[in-house]
Amino acid sequence: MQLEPQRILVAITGTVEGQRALEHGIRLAELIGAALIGLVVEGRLPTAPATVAEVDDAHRAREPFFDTITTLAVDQAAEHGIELEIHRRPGPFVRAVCREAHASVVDLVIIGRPRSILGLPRVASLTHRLDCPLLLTP
Amino acid sequence: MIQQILIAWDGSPPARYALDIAIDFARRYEAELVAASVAHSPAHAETEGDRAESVDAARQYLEETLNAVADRAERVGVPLEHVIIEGDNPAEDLLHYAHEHGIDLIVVGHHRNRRPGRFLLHGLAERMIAHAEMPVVVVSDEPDD
Repeated sequence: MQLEPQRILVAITGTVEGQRALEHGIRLAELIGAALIGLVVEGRLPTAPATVAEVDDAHRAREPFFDTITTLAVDQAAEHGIELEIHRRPGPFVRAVCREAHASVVDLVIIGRPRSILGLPRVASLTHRLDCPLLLTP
Repeated sequence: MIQQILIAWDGSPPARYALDIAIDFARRYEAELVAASVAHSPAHAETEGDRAESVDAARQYLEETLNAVADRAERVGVPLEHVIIEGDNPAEDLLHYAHEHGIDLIVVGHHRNRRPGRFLLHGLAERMIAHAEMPVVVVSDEPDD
């Protein structure tokens, strides 16, 4: 286990919790000179699309959202002199985070704390599957 | 930003993993590091004498286990303070301490396994995550397969 975080992965979700996680990641990367990777997880598509066109529509409808949160995150990091590398991966969230953490060989993962206790199984699953520490911001 | 870090110390292998991470964070942040433990008596302690005896035994165990690894902090120049709280609810007692003392970051160890329990967080880590007002770092030990 790498003890000194040189590469940090932060989940960018577009939520208040995700924003706090990003802010913490930026401050930490700034402080210790670590590389910061932002992960945008594109969640599941509509559960029962009838046609390929419906899937395409869903893709198109959410593109602006992911583009916006990506741009905002990169700009926010740039204000602190941090170059934020964005990776967009398909969901589910836990699998995407674990795969990205492994592929990018990160030493620390930062996510926002779930809003309710219903999100704790997701945190549990992450802690069991990640090879590195998990930092949850309130 | 982060000036005081608390590591939840119970002497277990996950806590030892977590200590290494906490030391590293403290060194990076140039923060103070506090190992906080809760010495609590078992529910079956029937008398005040039993209770005092078990608390003393817990206190001794916590001190000995931390002393055995405290040199890890000394080697990298991180002062490590050990605080032992007497109480019956480790998660609440540690969170209360963290709140009262302006702790900025909590580090907690967590034992993981590959069994169905992987969808559950156990005890201390779960309560810390659910109720802490400050960031919490969860450090898992090696899976026991």
